[in-house]
Amino acid sequence: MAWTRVYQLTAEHRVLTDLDNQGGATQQPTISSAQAHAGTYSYLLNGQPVAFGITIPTPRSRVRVGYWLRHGGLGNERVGYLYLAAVSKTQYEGANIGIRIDGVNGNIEVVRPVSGTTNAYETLYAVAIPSSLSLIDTWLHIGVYHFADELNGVLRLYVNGALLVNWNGDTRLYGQGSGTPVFSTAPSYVWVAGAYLGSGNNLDASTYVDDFYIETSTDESAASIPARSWDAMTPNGAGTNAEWTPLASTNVSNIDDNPNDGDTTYNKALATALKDNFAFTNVIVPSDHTIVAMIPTIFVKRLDTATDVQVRLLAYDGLTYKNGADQVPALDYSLPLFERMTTQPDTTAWNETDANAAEFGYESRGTYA
Amino acid sequence: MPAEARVSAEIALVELEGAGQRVSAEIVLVEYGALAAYATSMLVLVELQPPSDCKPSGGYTYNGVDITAYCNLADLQLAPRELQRRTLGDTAQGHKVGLSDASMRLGGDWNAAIDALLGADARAGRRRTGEAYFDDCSMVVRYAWSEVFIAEWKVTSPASGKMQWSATLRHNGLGVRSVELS
Repeated sequence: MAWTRVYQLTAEHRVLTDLDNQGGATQQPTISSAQAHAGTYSYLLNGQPVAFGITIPTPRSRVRVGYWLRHGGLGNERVGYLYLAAVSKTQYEGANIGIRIDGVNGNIEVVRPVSGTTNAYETLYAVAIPSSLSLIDTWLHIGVYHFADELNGVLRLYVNGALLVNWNGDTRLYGQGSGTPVFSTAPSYVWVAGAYLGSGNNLDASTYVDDFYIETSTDESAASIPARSWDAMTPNGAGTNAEWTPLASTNVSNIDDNPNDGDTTYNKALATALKDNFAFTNVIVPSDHTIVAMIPTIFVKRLDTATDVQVRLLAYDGLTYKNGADQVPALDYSLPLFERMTTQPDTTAWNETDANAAEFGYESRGTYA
Repeated sequence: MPAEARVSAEIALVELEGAGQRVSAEIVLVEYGALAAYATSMLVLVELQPPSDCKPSGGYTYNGVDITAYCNLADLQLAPRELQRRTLGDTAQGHKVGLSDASMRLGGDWNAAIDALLGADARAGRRRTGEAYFDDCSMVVRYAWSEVFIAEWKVTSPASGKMQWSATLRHNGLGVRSVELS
C-alpha cells in the first residue's frame, strides 16, 4: 500500500489548538510571521525547552515525517528532536525512540530510553553534524523514517533529500514508564522538541519549524522523503452555493476570519445536503514548483454528541464537484477537518490556473433531524 | 430553546396514596440537543513540491534487497496469453485473453555481490519475494510478488570488455500493483 497522509500541520491557521503540550516542556511554540518557508507564518521555537506533540490518527507500524527547520546556530542547542511514541508520553519520561540534532555534542544522534530507567537515554548511534546541517538562518528539509515492525527496524534521517543517518536495529517502542519494549506497536504520537542545555538561557530566538506532515504505511520501503510545503488561500467571494444559514451578513464574511473567531461569526447547517462554496484568493506557484494537492480545511463543530451530524469538503470546477469523505466534526473548533485532493474534479492534475479558478467549500452530510 | 434544538421527552406517572386520598402527577423530562453544524473558518492549503534533481528510473528489490545499484537494465514484461477462439464456421480469426505471465529481465556489470544474491539462488532454485518499481519523478508504480524465482542466470566474460550478468526472473501469481507520489 502507498503512504497515506494522516496529518499536516501548518502555521497558516494561526492557532496552536491542534498541538499538544503535555510533554513537560516549559512552553509551546508561537505563531510567527517573521519567517515562513511558504505562505506567511511558521512556528517559532523560543523557550527552555520548547516542544509540541501531535497524535497520529490511525497508527500504522511504519511512519515517515517531513518538516522544514530553520535554526540560528547549533553551538549550545539541541534542535530538531523528533521522537516517536507508543503513547502520548512526554519526551522526558523514557517512552520513546528518537533522533536529534545535538549541537552540544556536535552530533546527530539516535537515542532510546534506557530500559527500566525513567528520564534516561542511551545513544545508539552518532555521526558528526555535517556542514549542510550547520547552515544558519536557512530552511532545511528534515525527513525521518521509523519502522517499528521488526527487531531489525529502520530509523533514517534525511536533510534536504540527502541520507545522513541510516540506522538499523531494534526500533521497538517502549512501554509507558516501564522501559519495556513493545513489539510491533505502531507509534501513535510524534514529539518535536528543542532545548537549550545551558542554564537560564533560551533557545536561539530564530529557530523555526514549518510545513510538518505525517504519513503512515504498513509495508512501504524507505526511499527519499518528499519535501512539501503549503501556501494558503483564503475565501474572498461568494461561490455557486450559499445554502448554510449565516449568523449575520453573508456566508463568505462569516468564514473568512483567520485565525478563526470561534462563535463570533459562523454559518450553520440544520439540515443535510446543504452546500456552501466560495471563491478564494489566488496562489502564485513558485517557478519550477508543482501543485501536488489542494487541501481545503475547515474549522467546524457539531452541537450534539450524536455523530450523525457530518460534513464533507468539496471542490468545484464549474462543471463537476469533487467530494471528500464524510467526516464527523468535533464538539469544538480545536482541530480543523481537511481533505487532501491530489486531482481536480475532472481527475487531471492541479495547475495554478485551475487552482485559482476553482471554488472550494463544504456540505452538510448525515442526519440532522 | 434554540432554533436548532431537538427535543426528546419522557413521561413518568407518579401516584401517591395517603389518608384515603390518591394523587397522581405527570413529570415531563425534556432533553435538549442540537443537530446542527457551525462552520467558522475555512482555508485552502496549496501543497507544493519543489523542483528536484530526480531522474526517472526503474529498479528491483529481490528478497528484500534493493539490487538497483547492480543493474543497468530492468525490463518488466507482463504478457497475457492469447487464446484462439474460433469455430469451424468462423470466417475470421478470434482471440481471447488468458492468464498473464510476469517476468523481469535484469542485467548489469558483474561482481561477486550480485552473484551472491542471484547466482547462488539460481543454482539452488530458491523462491523469494520480488518488487519492481518505476519512478517518473512524479509517481512511483510498484509491482510486488510474494514468489519469484530465477529462470535464467547468465554471466558473460568476453576477452575484451566488461564482465556482464543478466537474469530472467519469473513471478508466480498476479502480484500487487500500487501507485504513490514520487
